[in-house]
Amino acid sequence: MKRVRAAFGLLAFLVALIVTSSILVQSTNDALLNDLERIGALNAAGDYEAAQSVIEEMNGFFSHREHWMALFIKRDYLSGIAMCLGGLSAYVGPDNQQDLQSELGKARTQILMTGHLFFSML
Amino acid sequence: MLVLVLRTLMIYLLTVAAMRLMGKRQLGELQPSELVSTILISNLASISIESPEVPLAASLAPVCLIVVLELFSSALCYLSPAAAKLLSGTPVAVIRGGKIDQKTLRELRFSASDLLEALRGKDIFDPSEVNYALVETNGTLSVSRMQQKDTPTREDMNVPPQETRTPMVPLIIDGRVLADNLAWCGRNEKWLDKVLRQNKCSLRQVLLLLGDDSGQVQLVKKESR
Repeated sequence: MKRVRAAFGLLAFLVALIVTSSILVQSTNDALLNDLERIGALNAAGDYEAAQSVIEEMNGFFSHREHWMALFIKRDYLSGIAMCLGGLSAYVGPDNQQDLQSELGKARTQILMTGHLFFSML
Repeated sequence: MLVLVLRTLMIYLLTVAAMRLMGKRQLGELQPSELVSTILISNLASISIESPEVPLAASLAPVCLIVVLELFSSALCYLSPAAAKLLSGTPVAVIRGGKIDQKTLRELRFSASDLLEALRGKDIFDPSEVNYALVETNGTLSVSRMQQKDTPTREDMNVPPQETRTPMVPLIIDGRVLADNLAWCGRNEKWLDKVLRQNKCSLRQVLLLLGDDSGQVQLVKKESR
């Protein structure tokens, strides 16, 4: 029956792993989507400096979380998101409003897809 | 490349730990659920090694879960005979009183040559020598011979048994003392030292020392290189 106790221990570890990974992925995705919203709004309002600083913060935040997320999510998807987020700063400004909106849309789709792959059952 | 080596090391350790945790049954004849676990674990373990882009958790979590399920199902089988019957099935008699049960053989999809092969594995070449044969849940055949064909025992031949003693067990292997076996034979390290002195060799020079509770020993020294 020692092994059954070990099985309960493993089960507890698995539950902890599931909860931790779910919280990590959900909170990261929420924060990124929120930041993308803000960037779009700031750029539309003409506050380009603030938009740039949000992009910088967001990239820093994601590069920190990326290492942890790589424990649970395929690296391909994460590098896809990183590439989308990394290129956003080039589109901030009065001349590229539509391009920025399109890039924000791409990044949003990447993030949502990652969340969908992680959480969906089928 | 280093990542690949580290991942392989981690997955190797995880798989060994998983198999160790599932116990010795996993290494011998397998029950259906054990076979499934073994196949799945071997496949899952290779995913993270083959594909570095796949997260480690993709192997770790499913392997752990399979170990948990296997341990719980074996505990359930131990506690509930009905669960054991459901998960592993029941032994089925294929020969009774020397007569092959053809209906059961058909149900098991066991051909006559399969049965003969299994019997030959038990040193039986004639099914009529078998009183009772069972196909166990792990697929092995257990056989009870007809009394007239069975090996007689000391009791049958009225030969008095020898004084009960432990079998010859290893007391030293490759210079390492096996304390449990020594205690089982009712001996101690002092006695062992005496035996070694009598044989004019040190512990390091011993390849194998066998002994029983009567004090009889067999010593094999290491050959000098």
